[in-house]
Amino acid sequence: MFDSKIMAVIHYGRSFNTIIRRGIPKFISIYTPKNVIEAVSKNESNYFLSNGNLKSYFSTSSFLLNTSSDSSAIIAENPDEQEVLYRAIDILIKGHEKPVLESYITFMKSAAEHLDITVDGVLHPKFIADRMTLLKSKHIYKKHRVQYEMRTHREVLQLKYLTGSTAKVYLEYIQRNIPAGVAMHVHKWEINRIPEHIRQEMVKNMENMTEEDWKKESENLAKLQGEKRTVAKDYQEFDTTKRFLVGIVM
Amino acid sequence: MNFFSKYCFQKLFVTLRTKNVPNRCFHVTPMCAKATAGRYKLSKMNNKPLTYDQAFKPNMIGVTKGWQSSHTGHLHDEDGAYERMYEDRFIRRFMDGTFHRLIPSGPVIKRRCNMIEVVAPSYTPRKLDALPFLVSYSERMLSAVLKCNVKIYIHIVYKEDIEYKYI
Repeated sequence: MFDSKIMAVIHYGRSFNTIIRRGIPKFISIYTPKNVIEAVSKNESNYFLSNGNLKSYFSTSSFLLNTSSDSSAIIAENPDEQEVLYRAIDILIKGHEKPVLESYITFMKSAAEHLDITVDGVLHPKFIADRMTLLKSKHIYKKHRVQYEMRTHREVLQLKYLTGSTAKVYLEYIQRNIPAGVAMHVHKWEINRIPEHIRQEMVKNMENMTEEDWKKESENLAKLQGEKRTVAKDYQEFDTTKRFLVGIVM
Repeated sequence: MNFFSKYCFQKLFVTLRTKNVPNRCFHVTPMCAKATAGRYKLSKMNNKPLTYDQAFKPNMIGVTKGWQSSHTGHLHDEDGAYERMYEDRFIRRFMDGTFHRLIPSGPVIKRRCNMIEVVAPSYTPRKLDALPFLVSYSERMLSAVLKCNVKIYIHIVYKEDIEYKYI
């Protein structure tokens, strides 16, 4: 079940073209997802770039070297398949019995720990009650009724920064051991590189940016970063709107 | 007359007759049977045994009583409640028939993915050798009908352990 190749992520620091010219570099750094997370996010709470300056991030050479779309991509052992990267995965479980859900969440958390997946938190959105008012008697007596309700309790497990293969393994293991009467919904947020044509535009505009512009841009980004994390309120349902998950824009 | 033709003629006659008759039914609003559901009639000599599940009234479901079938059909925004109910009904009738008088209380039906697990306590049967055959036979039949992997677990239990109350 747990292959070693899924744990190791071979990160090529150089672009694809240089590898072809110079050959595979002698030093290959093997990162587990934990190290990748530490490298990317220095602050614990935010995803990236909380107080730092955008300018420093964009002035690196890797951004300007935009020859091929696969440059400095994280490649798994099988070079034909490119790894998908997830910023976050939300696992929503629904059930009629709350203790069952709670025990399942502890199981999921321990499984995540064993696979070195960071758990961002657990949400407890309020249970949904489906109520119906029926007639008490089978003939007449309209004024006397009986009320029933069916409660579905919900729990959300938030995972942070996964690779595609770890996500596959983790989700498969979890779904095989799901208890009876529990439904699961999985929401994934993917990370993608900025497309080439936009990148070229950005490179052109970088020359015209002043320091004030850089400040403004970094502030805006910091605001957006803060809104990305899902909250119990996002899972609220209303009769009028009937949205299952509001969804985070960025 | 040929038996086949006679049958056909009768069937034709029946369809013709019912087709033109207006359908007059007594229309009734849905009823909940709150006062009568899940209750058992008292016996004269207090002989009638009830299991733990049968002893409690339906208002104690979720409090002191559990669910006898767990599936995702009744959850909010989930489908399949009718199909599961139909399948459950079929499974319970089937079990009642193959293990006649052996299962005191209803079998517990649990579903996960494409697997159905049927768990039931039973009294000791007269023919102990026949039990594994019955189990495998019913597994095969149920999986063929329901198109799922069915697993049946029968636990032989003493009378004192299973009978909670006498009515």
